[in-house]
Amino acid sequence: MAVSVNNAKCLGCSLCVLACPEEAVTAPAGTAEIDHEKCVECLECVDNCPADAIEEVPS
Amino acid sequence: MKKTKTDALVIGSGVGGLCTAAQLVHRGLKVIVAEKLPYLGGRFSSRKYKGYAISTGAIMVPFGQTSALQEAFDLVQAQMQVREAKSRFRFRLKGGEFDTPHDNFDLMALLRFAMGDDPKVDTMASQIMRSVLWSLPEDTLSFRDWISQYTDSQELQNHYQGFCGAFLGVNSNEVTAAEVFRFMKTMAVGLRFGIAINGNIELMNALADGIREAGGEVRTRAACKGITVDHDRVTGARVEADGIEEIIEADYVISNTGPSMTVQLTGSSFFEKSYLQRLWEFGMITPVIHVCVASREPLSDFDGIINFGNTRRLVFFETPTLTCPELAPEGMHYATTYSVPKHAAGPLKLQETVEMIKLDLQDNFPSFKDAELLMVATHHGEWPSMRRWPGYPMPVKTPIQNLYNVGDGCMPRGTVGVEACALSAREVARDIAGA
Repeated sequence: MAVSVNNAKCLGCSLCVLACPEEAVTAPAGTAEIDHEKCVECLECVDNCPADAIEEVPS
Repeated sequence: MKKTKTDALVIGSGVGGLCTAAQLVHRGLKVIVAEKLPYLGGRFSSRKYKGYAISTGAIMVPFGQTSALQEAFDLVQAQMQVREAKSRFRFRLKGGEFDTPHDNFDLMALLRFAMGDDPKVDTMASQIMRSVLWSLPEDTLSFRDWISQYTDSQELQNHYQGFCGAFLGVNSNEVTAAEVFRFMKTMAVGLRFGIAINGNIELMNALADGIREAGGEVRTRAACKGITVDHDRVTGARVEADGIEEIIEADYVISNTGPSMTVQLTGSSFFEKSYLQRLWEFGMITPVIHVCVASREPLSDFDGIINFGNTRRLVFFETPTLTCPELAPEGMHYATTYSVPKHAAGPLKLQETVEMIKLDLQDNFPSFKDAELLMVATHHGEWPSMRRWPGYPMPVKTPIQNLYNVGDGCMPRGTVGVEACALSAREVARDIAGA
């Protein structure tokens, strides 16, 4: 599995950025972006998203 | 299906939710708080990131004798670990900087500073004092238009534009003059503000612990899936945790999810038309862009709030680590900044706005170019800085009996932010206690 940001739902609040222990998420202006090289699929970002905008998808 | 009974069910653990829970357990009610996220506090929280404790919402925390937030903490014997900065406000205008200390706000001096030798300074001062102390203008005139009756000073307009953006979350043409004066009367004077020593989440954890010790229950990862109603009276809610749904039957349900979400969770057919009309007609949220900047040397050595009158979008700058070095790794600092889009009702043009904020920071703080951009957080939509514009609150009572809203969708007029949420909670608790 991998995680993917649903841009239509993402508000850019950056809670996922702060929650990621690997610093794999950034939100430079309004939408979160995940660096899949760094991502360890711990799902902290999924858990922390208030908008349910980060989804688990088959990798 | 599992069933639980309680006196009051609070949905959401933001400031409004936890303050309501504290108020109600203190009054002897059995209370359950259900929070969807794994952490407490809602938007008023904080997270550790790269060794920094970063606020996810407000940075200034109301406290002290006159604060409803403090009252909620006191009721459940929770410690409010905040520290007050030595300085209060610095207004940065074309002519330089004007500082106002904690205990002495000199309106006349500020107006002279902003308006220079404009002969209308005395009129302006007496009209402001008249409005605050004697009679408010009607709620039909924006603050920008109200000022323009008395002076054409662009610099005074710039000052109050930055003031409204920083403290009311909207532009000066988007808030009524009456609401600004109510705010000046109730919040800008007399209320003290501090910074959470270990981040906002520690405050909310302490409040939740107090609620638990007083007999209340506070759950995380417990998502409300629906509010249940029978014969126009609320009966409880369905709450899901670990994939298992539970029915919580409650005499009172207090929603801290925002008035729109409350309708969505219940079903709009239960709400009468005039309520829904009020909900949608002035249903604008206040957006804000929250940028955090880290550096070895602080970008400014002023420990209070810097408010700007001549920036593109930046309105608020505060270096919490000057007051609470605990918030950063040793020897480091970070600044919290808030910026308001040109039109609070949108479109937000986020990328363009973030570029403007960077230019504002560069113009105002030369060492910004060497600093690290820790976080850019945009607050809008379902995760705004405030769920209604100041002056356009929804009532705490819904048309459904025993179903209440709390939080910044229900800010009492003249109040904003965290303190407004705590005040809405107190209003609900008093209503329930009086029933």
